[in-house]
Amino acid sequence: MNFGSPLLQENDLRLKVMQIHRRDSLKSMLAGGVGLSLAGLTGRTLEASTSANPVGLPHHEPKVKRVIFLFMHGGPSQVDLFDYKPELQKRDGGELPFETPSNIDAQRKLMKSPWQFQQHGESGQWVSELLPYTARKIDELCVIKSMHSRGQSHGQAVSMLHTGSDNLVRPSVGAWVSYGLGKENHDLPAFVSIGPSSGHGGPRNYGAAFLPAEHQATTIGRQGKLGKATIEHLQSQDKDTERNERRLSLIQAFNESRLQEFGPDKRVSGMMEAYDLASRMQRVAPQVLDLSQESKSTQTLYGIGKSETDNFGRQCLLGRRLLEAGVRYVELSTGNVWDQHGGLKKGHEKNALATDQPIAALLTDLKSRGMLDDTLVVWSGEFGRTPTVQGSNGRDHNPQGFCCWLAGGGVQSGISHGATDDFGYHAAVDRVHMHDLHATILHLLGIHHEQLTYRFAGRDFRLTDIAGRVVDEILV
Amino acid sequence: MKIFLPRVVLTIALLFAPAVDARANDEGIEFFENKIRPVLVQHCYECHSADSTSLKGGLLVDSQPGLLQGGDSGPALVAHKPAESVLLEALKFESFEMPPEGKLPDEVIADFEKWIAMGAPDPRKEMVVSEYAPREIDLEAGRQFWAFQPPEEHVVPEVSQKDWPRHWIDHFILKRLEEQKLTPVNDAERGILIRRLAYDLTGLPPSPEQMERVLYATDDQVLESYIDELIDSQQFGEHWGRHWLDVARYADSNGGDFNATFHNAWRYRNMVIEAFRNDLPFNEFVIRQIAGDLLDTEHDAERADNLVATGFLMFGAKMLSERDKEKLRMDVVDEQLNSIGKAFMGMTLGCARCHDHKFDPIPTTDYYALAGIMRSTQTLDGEIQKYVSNWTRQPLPMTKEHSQSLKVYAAEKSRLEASLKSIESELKKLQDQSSQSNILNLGVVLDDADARVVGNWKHSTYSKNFIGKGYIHDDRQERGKKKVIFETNLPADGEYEVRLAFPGSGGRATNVPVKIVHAEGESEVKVNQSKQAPILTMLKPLGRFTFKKDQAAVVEISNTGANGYVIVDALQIVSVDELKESANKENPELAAEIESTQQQLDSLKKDLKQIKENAPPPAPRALAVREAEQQGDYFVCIRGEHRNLGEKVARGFLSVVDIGETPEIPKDRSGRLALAKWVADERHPLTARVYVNRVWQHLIGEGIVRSVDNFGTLGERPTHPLLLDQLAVKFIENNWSTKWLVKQIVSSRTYQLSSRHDEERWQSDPENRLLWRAHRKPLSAESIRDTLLLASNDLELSMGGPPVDNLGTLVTQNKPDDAGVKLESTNIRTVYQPVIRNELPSLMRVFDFADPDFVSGKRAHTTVPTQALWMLNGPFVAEQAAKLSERLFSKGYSTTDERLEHLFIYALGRPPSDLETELSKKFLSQSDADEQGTWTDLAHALFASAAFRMLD
Repeated sequence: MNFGSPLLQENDLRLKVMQIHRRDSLKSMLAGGVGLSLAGLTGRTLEASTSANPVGLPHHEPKVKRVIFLFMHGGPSQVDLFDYKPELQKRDGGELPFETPSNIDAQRKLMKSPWQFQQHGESGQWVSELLPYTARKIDELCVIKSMHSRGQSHGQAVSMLHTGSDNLVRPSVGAWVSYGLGKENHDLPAFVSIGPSSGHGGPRNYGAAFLPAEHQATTIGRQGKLGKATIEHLQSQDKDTERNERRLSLIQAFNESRLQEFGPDKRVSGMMEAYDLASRMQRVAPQVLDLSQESKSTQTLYGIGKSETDNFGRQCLLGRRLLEAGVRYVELSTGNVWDQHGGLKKGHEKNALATDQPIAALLTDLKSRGMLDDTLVVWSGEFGRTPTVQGSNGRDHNPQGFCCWLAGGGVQSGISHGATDDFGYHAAVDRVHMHDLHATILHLLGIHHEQLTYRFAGRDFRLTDIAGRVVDEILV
Repeated sequence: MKIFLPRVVLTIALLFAPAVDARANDEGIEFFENKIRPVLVQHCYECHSADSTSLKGGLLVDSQPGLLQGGDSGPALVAHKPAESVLLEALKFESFEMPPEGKLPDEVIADFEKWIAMGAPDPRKEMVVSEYAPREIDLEAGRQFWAFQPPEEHVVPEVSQKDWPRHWIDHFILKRLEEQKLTPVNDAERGILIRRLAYDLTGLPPSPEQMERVLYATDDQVLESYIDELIDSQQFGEHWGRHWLDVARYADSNGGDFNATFHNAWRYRNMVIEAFRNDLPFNEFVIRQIAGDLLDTEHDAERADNLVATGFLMFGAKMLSERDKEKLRMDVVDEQLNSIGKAFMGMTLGCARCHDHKFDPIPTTDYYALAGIMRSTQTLDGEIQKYVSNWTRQPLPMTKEHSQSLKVYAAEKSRLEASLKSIESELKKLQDQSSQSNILNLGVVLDDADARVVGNWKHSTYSKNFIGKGYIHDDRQERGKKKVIFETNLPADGEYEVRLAFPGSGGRATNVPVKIVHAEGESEVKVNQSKQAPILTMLKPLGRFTFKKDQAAVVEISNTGANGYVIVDALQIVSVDELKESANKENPELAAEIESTQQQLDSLKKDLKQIKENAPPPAPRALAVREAEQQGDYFVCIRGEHRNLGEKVARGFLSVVDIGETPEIPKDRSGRLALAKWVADERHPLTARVYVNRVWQHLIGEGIVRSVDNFGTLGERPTHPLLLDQLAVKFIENNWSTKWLVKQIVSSRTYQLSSRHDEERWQSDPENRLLWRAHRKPLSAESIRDTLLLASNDLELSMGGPPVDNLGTLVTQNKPDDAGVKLESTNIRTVYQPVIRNELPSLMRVFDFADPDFVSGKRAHTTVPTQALWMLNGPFVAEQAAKLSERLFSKGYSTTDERLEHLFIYALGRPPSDLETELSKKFLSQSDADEQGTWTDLAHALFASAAFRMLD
């Protein structure tokens, strides 16, 4: 047997390069400060083999590099959280003085918020007692109080929120961002969805639709739960790393032998590159996913260890670690828990408790790391809820008017934008459609929403379909 | 002929102009200049003027004619009539919401109202033409496009290298190569060709026996009979059926917002597989899928197949919970038209829903002519639950025996159920008579509803043994804070037995504290509620106490320190004298009767259970459409808005496609049958071309038209237009036979070329458009799994049945705690595995399985790290590698070489090359794992290698 054949020498060299790479990663991992070590793990050497991102991006100077979207699935009630309506409080039990949209189960009877509202911060914005932690951050938020969207049922509205279409299969916002901007860290996916729901469209809401499949989200956990915080197939069943390494170099040697025997082939070299990338992901990603690397005080800040806040606290902290490691678009989901057709008081109290502290902690943490300036945080449900009562203590779906908030780079802080009518039912002043929110998110990332298009089935598609307007009024 | 958009003609403006009198005119113009023009310029011109880069809604407001002519929604204003003016509606946010950035102040809107009432005076008389204004479609010019020209037979071209072609196909290919001064590479090596043929025709590797037979044969006859053997196999139907299932967006669930199970979809899947196995002529296959339910048939089996075939129209992912049902209906129609257009004709019809197709000669009126047909077809049918639509199903013909056995079963079942019911009521009557039942009539009974409760107690009827309308429990919440207090005055002084009623069972507290206030003070007892109470399974005696007539008896149950649920149903207080009296009333005869009735009841229940277990299979039903109750033409929906109806359009087909005589649509029919016949007509320029192009693509690796689902202007042009024509014409001549077509292509020398790289040729044609070599193709997800199973001898080659019988109405619930789909795992071929939308297994997601939400004639070919991770770390690959290694060891091969050769044959369908042998041996010698483990690693590496994942 000839151990000195050129092929095998080259292969041995490959192994050495990989070992060096690994040592380097290890070194940086041991380097100390968590932020530093995560940054040190970012790999930018190889281009993904099948990425073909559109040219000319960014279209303008981006204000933010990354987005974290906090999805309040089910439809949190605007009039019980941010949209204080004295008229609603006053006319509790009275009749709604205008027609309701069709297909609504709520009665036409007004129901006041069971919670107290107070003005907070220097900006003096109203926040209900449900969100004490968020209230302390109010000077950093831009609350849009005039959101409206399409879809009277969850499926339509959730799809609208994620893909800009309430009926057709379209790429999700994160997929568009991945397609438009590509990866920042080639060892990690560009788009990660934590705890996505399997209902109401499930993977469609983080899917790539007709965009190349690589732009769909990598998922961690499901149904609003982080679970064990792992990525499928990230790690081998076999814990013998030496053996796994050896098998990998055999695969690569077989592949090189193909190239040698059949001549150059982009697919085969692409496949080899993919194995290299995968092998680096296997080392890098588990580090990012490991929350135990965070200090006790950080974990406490997020409410980790307290039963009410533990799950969402972990999600938020993992979200921050992913952003820090170079993931462009992270979505966190509560699962479909905000849907209080009945039991508003109990349900909203539980949900607010579970998310309030972790979300405030995320804002604090991002700020203290200097990341809030170039990160966009978006908080929204698929719709809001009616100010009228359903049953005896619930509220029905309301895409006609609701709140979302933004925080971070490029967005004015401590303001609210737009308003609903006197009861909080319809968005009335400076209305912001879901398409407008999408246009604004893309704008902040340096993308012109009308120019990021993809040709499929004979048409140039875009996230905002034929609509969308950047909400200039809220930009810095 | 030109098709003109419906719009108000310019002359209206001319008629209207003189009507404005001069004086009013001056004032009016001033008003316009001061109040109206600035608003239009500031808020509207960006999107509605000649300078707008993207003109919205076809509306121009920068001239009077523009406003009067209006846009897609008709005239923007009607002079003197504010109430009829869309412009004002839009400003008021009543129909449109303009301007989109927010409603204008009320006084501005009032100005517009006034202005329109004045007659909308406007000095801007000249129509400004926008360069972005929609163009009119010229159908005659459109027909000149290559794809709308009927395919013609061509003379087989002469070539210089006369000894190269083996088939007429090769002449067309070589001709183009020679024109570019190129020559084809060598033929593929025999081993490679054998593997290529096996996967291309059946999706499986060649068997070791086939490999051995064909590899060393010198007689060409052997290769040909190998090809015939593959084409005639059951696996051919499965592999080629799957290609069509991609096109049909086949799925076993709805996906969308409401992931309902398609329990009957599998019948369509199996019908397709059988159609390809039996080589059903493609034109018939097309007709069945659009209108199978409307065809006359002679046999039940054919009728069943025809009904099932219309499943094609049903597979679209629907937003079933859309509350606006008219919108949903039009969305479903749209999905069906898109699918028909793309699947059969390579046309993108969806674009014409909102406006004339921007690139292809398809006016909106054509779209709604077709929409009228699909609207006259029933797809949605009632509701599964409030706001959630259900879909149509059609009963399938059954054998006489089956329907007879269903009848017998139904009769027997209802007989048993009736007797069960009567015996149950008889038993209840007897029990009521019995002294046991009389127990409840003793003394004083206080229901939970009569008690005073402290804290939040939940009402329940979950356990059935209760008194009154149910019972209450503490929900195991707020220990120590909840109480139930019964209070009553008894009729006389004396000794009483106190009994607490509760439905005892596991999970309930064993230490419920109960306080009894009686004449002699207070007593406290702990009650165990985890077991049924002794009397009538409901009543538990707590002891005997003395009570006085004028002093209230109080019993207080609390949840302090309780270690489970605390339940309260009722309280009974009976005097001891009364108890003694009733004990003497026992009636032995009645007890015996109860006993025997109970036995009858038990035996009936057993019988019922038994016949249910042996019930005949339910009446078969298909996922299929039917004719709607009402048929008729439909209206253009302006801008695709289903509530904004324009002119009515007669049902019909694409005007650009001219096939001579067009099938007629009878008034009382949907027109689907006519549509089906029109699509499948041999004069249709697209149907045969689109299909032969897909078949070519599956075998050659790329289509002659590379955009296989788009033959329109934005699609690619054919690399070999004459060959595409020839294939289409000959295909029709040969009775639309897929097997004939496949055989022609794989017999060509073009198909049998090597896929090796050649630098010089590559330089002049890097994309291999002229086919100087064979394209290297990736192995599909299905072939990867099937081969891994086959390598360990685990693959079962039987036909699959219903794959989702174990799933309910929904595959996953829209709840935060849904656990996901659980599917039974089987080792039948992947084509028979369930395709659950939104829940595809990782193998499918990672290895480019066709997205079942879309018509897909061409799968994506990606190379991404997730594939590498699946191969490296996926448990399935590791398991199969271990099994293959075990298989090699169980065969007892004596030498490494022999074992190695078999490993490669099982995994790759061919023996190893020298280089591969060398690499493998080096690996074997260096490993420190045990021997079988090392072979497992070797097999694993082979599965993950390019040699396995690619088809040379």
